[in-house]
Amino acid sequence: MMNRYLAITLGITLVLASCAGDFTPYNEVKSLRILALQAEPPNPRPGQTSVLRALVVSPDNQPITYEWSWCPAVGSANAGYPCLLDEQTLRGELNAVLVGAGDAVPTYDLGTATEALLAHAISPLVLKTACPRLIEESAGMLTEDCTQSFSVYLRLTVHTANETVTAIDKLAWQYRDDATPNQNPMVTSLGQVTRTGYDAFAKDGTTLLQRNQRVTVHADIPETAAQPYTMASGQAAREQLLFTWFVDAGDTEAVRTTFIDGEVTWEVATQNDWNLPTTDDAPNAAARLWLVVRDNRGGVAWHAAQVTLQEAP
Amino acid sequence: MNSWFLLVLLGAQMPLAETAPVAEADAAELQAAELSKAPQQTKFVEAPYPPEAQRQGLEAEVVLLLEIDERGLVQAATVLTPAEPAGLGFDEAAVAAARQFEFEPAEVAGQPVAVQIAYRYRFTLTPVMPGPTAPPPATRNFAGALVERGTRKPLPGVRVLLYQDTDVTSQAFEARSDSLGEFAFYDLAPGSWEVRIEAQGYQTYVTRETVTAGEAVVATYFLERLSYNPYDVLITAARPRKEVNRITLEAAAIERLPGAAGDPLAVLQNLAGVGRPSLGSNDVIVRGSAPEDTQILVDGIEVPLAYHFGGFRSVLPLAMVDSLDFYPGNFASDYGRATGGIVEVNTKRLAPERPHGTVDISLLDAGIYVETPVGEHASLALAGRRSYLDTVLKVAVPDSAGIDLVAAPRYYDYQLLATYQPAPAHALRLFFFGSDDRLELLFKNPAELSTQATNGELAASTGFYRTILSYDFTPSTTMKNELRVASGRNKIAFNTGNLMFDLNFYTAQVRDRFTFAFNDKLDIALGTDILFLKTDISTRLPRLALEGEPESNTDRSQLLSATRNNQISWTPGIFADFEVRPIEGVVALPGVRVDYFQTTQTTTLDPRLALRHQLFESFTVKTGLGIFHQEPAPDETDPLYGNPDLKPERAVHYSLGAEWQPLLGLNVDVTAFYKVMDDLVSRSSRFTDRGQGPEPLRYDNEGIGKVKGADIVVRQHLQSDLTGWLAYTVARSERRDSGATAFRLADFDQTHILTAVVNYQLPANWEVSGRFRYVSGKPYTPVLGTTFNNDTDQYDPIYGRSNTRRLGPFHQLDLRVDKRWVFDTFIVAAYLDLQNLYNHRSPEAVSYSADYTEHRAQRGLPILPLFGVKAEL
Repeated sequence: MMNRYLAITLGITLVLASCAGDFTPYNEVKSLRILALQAEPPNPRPGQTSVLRALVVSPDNQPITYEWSWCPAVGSANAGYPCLLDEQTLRGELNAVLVGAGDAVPTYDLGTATEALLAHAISPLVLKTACPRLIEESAGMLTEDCTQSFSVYLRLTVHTANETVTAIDKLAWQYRDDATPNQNPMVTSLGQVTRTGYDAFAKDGTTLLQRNQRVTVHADIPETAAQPYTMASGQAAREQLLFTWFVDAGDTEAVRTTFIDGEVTWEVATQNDWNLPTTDDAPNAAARLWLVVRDNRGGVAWHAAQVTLQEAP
Repeated sequence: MNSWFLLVLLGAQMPLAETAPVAEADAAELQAAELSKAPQQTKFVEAPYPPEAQRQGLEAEVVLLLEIDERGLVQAATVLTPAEPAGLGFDEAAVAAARQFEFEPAEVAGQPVAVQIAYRYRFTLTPVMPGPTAPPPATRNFAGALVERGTRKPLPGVRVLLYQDTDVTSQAFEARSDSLGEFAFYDLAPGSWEVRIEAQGYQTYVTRETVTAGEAVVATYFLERLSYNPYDVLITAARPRKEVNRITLEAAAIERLPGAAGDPLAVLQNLAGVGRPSLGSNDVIVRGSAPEDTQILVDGIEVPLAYHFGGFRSVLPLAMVDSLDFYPGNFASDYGRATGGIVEVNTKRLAPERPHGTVDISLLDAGIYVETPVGEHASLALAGRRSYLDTVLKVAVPDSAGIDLVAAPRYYDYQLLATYQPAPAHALRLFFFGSDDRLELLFKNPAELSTQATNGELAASTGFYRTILSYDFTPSTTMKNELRVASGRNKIAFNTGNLMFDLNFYTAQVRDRFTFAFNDKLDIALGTDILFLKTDISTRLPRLALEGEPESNTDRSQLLSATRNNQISWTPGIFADFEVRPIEGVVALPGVRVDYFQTTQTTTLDPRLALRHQLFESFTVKTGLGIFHQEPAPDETDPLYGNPDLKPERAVHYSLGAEWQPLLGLNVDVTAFYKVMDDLVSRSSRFTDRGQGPEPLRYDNEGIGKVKGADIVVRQHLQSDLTGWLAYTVARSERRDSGATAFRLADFDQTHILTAVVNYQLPANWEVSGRFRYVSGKPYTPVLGTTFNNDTDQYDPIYGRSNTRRLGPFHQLDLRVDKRWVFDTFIVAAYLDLQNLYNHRSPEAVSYSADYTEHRAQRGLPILPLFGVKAEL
């Protein structure tokens, strides 16, 4: 009986213990990547419209096309999060709760611009009432509990001439107008820590850094980015932030850092070491650094910086 | 003669000097393979040499058939092969002497049984020693004791010869050691005497002692065995006795197997029908079944955790193990709640003659074992073991690793075994054992642990203890009752970031088996097997992956929290086994088992049948058919994680095979098997309504499976310097999930499993053994693409059809060298276990880059030398 749980323990431990080996580190951008999606606001209240943005990087600067869509019920990750409920069925189910409610359903196709809009336009009461039926209708969907909020899924597929990548994001449509809003965090700047203090990287990319050196990079973020909030249990908490440091040249000491109130200090969380490449490793003089910040309630922000690499004297 | 009587062809080793009639033994070779102990002669009576034969200078040999009862007394002695020449009185003299022999009784599973043995009695003329006949004893001036070197075991019945050659006279005297190994001489003349001690199976011992007038010489002589290899005394029950398939491994054989480092359960992987688990695991994969389908028992009682850290090391040290029974299928009705196989560890049959013990030190851990007699009827054994990997790792892991080893990884286990047999009919055993494993890491950067970690802690702990009280009552040779009462606690806890579980099980189990030999043609066994569980569980996990599914997504938005306290579960079962012998050579074993599973509120009926027919002396055919049930895993029936309406899974085992002994000591066993499984728990997309509206069913019992294959075992019995076996299994294991139309390969499908084990004993207590294994690669599910998950900042793989790819094969050669150094009062043994001798790093799994665009085979360990030392005191 315990073997099944022991297998979980071992499985997780082994996964955690396994090293990346010779693989390209997660944070080294070598191909077309969606580094982050952002919905503003991240958890819209009834009537609000979220602006959907994406941090997409093509290392060779190829033209990128965007395809935005959303779906209220998706299948498993293992199957690629397929949409399990078509628009017509969704409208029909909502209309069954309240005649005309289905008319408020935004089209699933959200366009091909670099940004998209998604409105929380359906009555929360209708959503809450229809939810169990929607779950049954879309057998196999991930979300089974829609008593607190109604989860919808954003999908972005980006293409270049020879690459395609897809990202998924979950958005929680709040039922109540007075729900405590979450705000996306904000990154003011990226820079390096020097003997004299903090030097933000120049916005025009002219900051010079020596190749084959280790630079301590720092993210200038107000500590208020980690917002206080009340958990579902009623307990007061402070947001946890996850910082992912992407580079297109060299590598970083940590792929990610994190701020956990009481566990990891703000200073530690907002710093990393960037090992700058040699000319052999990265002939381009320009090197880019992206920092993506996620809070544990769906908030996302990012900041990009570019520096110029020079040979050591 | 009752049902316990077994035919044993045994030439008992009798240590006698060349001047005496000799009862000489061959190495033990058993037809009744289930003996756990051969009869050992404790009293020898010398037959008077027939006068006429002595006058004519004739020597002879008589082969006797002795019937030895449960007390070790000779009940009958008859001549199997008469002496040549006949008519001189050899046969009569041998029979008369043999009737006065006494033995330590033979045993089956630790219980004394009556046996028949063939006994060779050789009459050898004694060369007439020159010199006068010794005068009647008056003064005891030379006394001594004979003990076995290294073990200090007394040697009874050994002849001690004294010679003295002077210019004037030559004298010779002889004495025989008594049951305590002691001997004495009287009125020896002062001077130097040559002492010569010869005993079968021991090196000849020669020394000189000086007898001084008015003083007594007291000496202890340590006789060294020709070999201290445990195989010398091994009585293996390689052939199944009744079941279609049962393989028994004795502790002595387990210890020497290469690649297992003396681990009692790791050796299972050498047996036919057992698949190879993942690296680092010792999961028992039996004939294509999942590990949780096979039950591991200790003295008939279920144990939750057989290994430290799931596969690192068995929780029972070899010193506490007597033997291991493995049933790959078609097991009898007294075993239940498993649809795969049964592994039963039989704890040691204590019979210490004096306090002694062992200290065992290896690269992984150190252990101590002590056993001692307590009075005449009781014995006690204590053992303990602790790993020191944590100490080594704390030194080895640099500060820059970003990890603090708070407790990493540490395990220990402990055992206490007490036996008490106030009378032959009553045998009591108490076995208390447990283990505790702990791993605790602190990641300085919690983000390296998980993108959703709420702290840097990774902690896992497992532990359990059991108390098993056994009472065997054997009022007569036709009746026996075996009662086992056990209780204990299992605990397993895990916590990392946002995932956690904390499980506590309080368990009790009662097993009782009453056996009655109704007549020569019928034995009956009736019993009950009741398992009780009280469970306290707290979890925060995603729904777990089922067999055939890739690992579950650990997105925290999908985590489910549950707390269940005081959950009571009763699983009572009753069984009846019959052994019917309608005609000579035919044994039928019908049985039936009824179980009630409270969790699923289901009663199951499992009829089973095994048949054996000995067509010729060396050829037996066998077949089996049976139904087996087991409960779904706890999470699968949990209302939050699974479906509380599930019912037990079912398997039907079919097997057909033959056993052939083409040569003495060589056995060939071929078994074809077919296993059909239904009611397997499978993921379902259907919905149900339990009165509160539609809700997802999540799991149903619509999965089915089938396994077909064959086991082939060629075994050279352990009677010569070269021993070993070849085990080969070919099988195909498939499943069909709920709603699917086609079968797929099961996770545990391994087409070819080949194991060859060879052991060669060398002089001077050296021993070399080797093991070669070849196993088809494991199936795996390919990754076809990915989706970037913005919530978790990770890529989620998109999988193709389940188990449609297969890893490359595993093959490995292991070599083990053992050496024993024998000192007067102790023995030191050392081994070097070289695993993966030719350094082939077999593929173990497929690993992927973070975005799954790169992948490669994860390779196994390179050549790995393991070294260990054991002192036997």
